[in-house]
Amino acid sequence: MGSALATQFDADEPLDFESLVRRHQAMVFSIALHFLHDRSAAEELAQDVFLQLHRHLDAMQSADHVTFWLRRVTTHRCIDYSRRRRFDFVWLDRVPEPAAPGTHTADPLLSRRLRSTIASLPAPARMAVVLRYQEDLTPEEIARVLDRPVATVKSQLQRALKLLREKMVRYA
Amino acid sequence: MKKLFAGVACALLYAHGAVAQTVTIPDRIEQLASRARESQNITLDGALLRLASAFLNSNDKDQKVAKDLIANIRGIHVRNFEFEKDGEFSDRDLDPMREQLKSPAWSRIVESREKDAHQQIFVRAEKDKIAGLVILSAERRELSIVIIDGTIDLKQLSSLGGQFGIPKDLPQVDR
Amino acid sequence: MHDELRDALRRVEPPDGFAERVMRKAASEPVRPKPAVDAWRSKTEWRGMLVARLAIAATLVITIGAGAWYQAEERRREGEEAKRQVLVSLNIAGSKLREVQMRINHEQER
Repeated sequence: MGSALATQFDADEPLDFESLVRRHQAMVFSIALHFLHDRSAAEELAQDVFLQLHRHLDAMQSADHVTFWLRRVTTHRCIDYSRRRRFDFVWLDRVPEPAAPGTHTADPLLSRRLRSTIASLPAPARMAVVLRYQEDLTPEEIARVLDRPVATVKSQLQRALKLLREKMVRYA
Repeated sequence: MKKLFAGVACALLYAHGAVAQTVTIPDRIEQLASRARESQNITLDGALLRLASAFLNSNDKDQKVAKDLIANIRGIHVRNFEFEKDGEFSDRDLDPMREQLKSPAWSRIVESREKDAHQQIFVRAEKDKIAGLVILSAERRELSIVIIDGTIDLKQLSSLGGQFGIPKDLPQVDR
Repeated sequence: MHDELRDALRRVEPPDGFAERVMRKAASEPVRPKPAVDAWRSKTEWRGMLVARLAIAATLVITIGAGAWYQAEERRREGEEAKRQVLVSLNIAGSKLREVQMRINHEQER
């Protein structure tokens, strides 16, 4: 690792593990929560991601690298988890709502319904939506995180939005 | 769950004590895997089940239930196919299996038929216990077959991995 | 729709104490020693290390028996795979049972 990069990393954002956990815990937990729609599974998954980071801390090269690595590992673990557990039936209306105390949302009922509807999307489209609207990633960035062609991500996003609109109209 | 277990109780009451009969999966079904977007093809005999049991962790809630469940099972066959589009299979593809399940050894305890879904559960009873279970499920884009040979606890099975005790006030679920 | 989605998918903090729990678990994990690359200062040392490692490896092979090790490893892989298949198959069966019951309950309510 170049000394210049190391210095920059150290100067701007400390590499110590605890700081990384505190800085990124909301991101990792929220990706898992919005994808899995299961609070305790999201917490467990998020913990596992950070433990994996702890084991690979030496390989981190920059603050951006950590962010990218965490997003990538979290999304892949979420998708693996959902494949293993996808035969569980989730009572969407009975899942405790994830909004943190003090979070202001314009229309809490709409947000709640949207989150439930997102949770019913097929896994690849669901993750694309979460990365797009939670993390504000571009389709190109999403494609890098998910290891998919950009065209696939764009088409998944388009289809997901179409499906969400249809379902939201039905609920209205 | 009451209706399900009432059906089971009837099956046990009228058990013919017939010789154990295995159900085979027709080639037509096996060939669906090549057209499926995703498929699970699982065949576990007694030896593999015993091997799996040794690796199941009794400290994990779900794995403990699984370990208890398979303790008296001789075989599990699962075929699960998910398709990209409608029309890749027909409910009639399951007819050869239904023919086998017409034998006196088997009782159909539950059937649910809707526009886009047809699901049936069959049990084979031996001496007041369920000694075999077959689930046939045909939905628009998903076909599932489960065959379990051996003593099985339906209540425990349905508790695995999800919520047990299905409430009456069910939410509408989009299919 | 875009604004509503951003609103609905805002980041949320994990439950209280999350970071502390992660730190506790991380602290309880065994520490992996870093590769001692810096210690190999000369070719002689490197060669010496290599010879020592080969000698240890040879001893292990003789003691344990490569065949027995391979068999044990194969058995472990088979066992883990069998376990995975059991869990997947029981999950499918359990969920189909619940689905059927759900449909029946719906029919009864109509």
